[in-house]
Amino acid sequence: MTAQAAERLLHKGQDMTLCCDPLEPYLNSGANPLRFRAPSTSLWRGYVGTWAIESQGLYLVSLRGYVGTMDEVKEVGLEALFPAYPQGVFAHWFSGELRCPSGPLLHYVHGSYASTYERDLFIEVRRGVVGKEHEVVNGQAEPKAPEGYTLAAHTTMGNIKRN
Amino acid sequence: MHADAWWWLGGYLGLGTLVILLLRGVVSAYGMGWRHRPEPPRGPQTWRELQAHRQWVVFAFFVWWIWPLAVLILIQKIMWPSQLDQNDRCIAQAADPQYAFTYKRRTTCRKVSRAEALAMGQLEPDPLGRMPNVAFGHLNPAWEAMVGAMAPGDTLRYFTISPRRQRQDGPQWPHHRGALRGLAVLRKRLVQAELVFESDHGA
Repeated sequence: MTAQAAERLLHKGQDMTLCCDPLEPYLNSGANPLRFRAPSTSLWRGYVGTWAIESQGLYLVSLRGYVGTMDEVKEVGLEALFPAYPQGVFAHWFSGELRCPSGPLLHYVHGSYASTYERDLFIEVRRGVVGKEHEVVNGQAEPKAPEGYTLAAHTTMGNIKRN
Repeated sequence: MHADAWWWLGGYLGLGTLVILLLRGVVSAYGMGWRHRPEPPRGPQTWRELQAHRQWVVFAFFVWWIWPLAVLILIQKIMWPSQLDQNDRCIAQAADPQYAFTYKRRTTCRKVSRAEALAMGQLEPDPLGRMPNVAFGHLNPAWEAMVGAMAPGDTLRYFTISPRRQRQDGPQWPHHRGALRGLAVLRKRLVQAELVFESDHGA
């Protein structure tokens, strides 16, 4: 197992870690022509999206994705998936709860998004429209605990060709 | 008798025959038969006999226990099939093609008209107004492609799936699908295309 690189969420002027994959339903809908590939064991989904909450809507505002073969991995952006929406895409396909961990690390788990941090902000989303949010305090970390989202190690796969 | 049952029974019988032939070959080739071994010096007659025939005792154990176990598994598979087995059987036998879906654990599946499907594609408006007001929003091109490829006689099916952790969950990251709602085009008994237009991870 390897802990996974998180998505990013821009919300209320803050750049937050998002431990949730709101793009997955779109990718699995049957409408997606792209097949992302993992550039490393810490990014099995093959992309990192940056999301923003604007006017109570959830938007995908940028993307760094990886496509290609094992020999050559090419980096692509949001335009590869949504060429007509460079400013951001309304995520109407997503309903669920966004989880944004913050604060010092409480307990590290080298897999998925399973590590726990001092606080979790949960944001409800219904068909792309943002609803209630609430914060959960998970505990108090030790004084020397690392701050923020942490990945311990990963293995790179393939040669990444950057644009 | 069910085709699977014949396959299993034939397989086990065939394997059993192979094992017997293989063991007989090994015994013959290496002279491991009990006839070549000196009799143990002590012990009651029955124990000495048992030791002399120990290869056959072990073999008999496998014959007596493994084969009935295999038959029991076969009976269990026929009498109390798993959900996936039942689905496979439904696909093979049912006149209704709804069982041919990729997502076999659907909870709803019914025929819908194109107008009904379009009504399902009505979305919450984009708060910033960037997305055009079309059915299924950003999935509209896939919807158009799906219905555009429909031939006379094809039907549209609406399906829902309960939330669950899918079988293909990897150890690296959870692939939890929420409650899914989708549409599919069926031709005869085969799914031509599927479009999952809503995925509720909070369900």
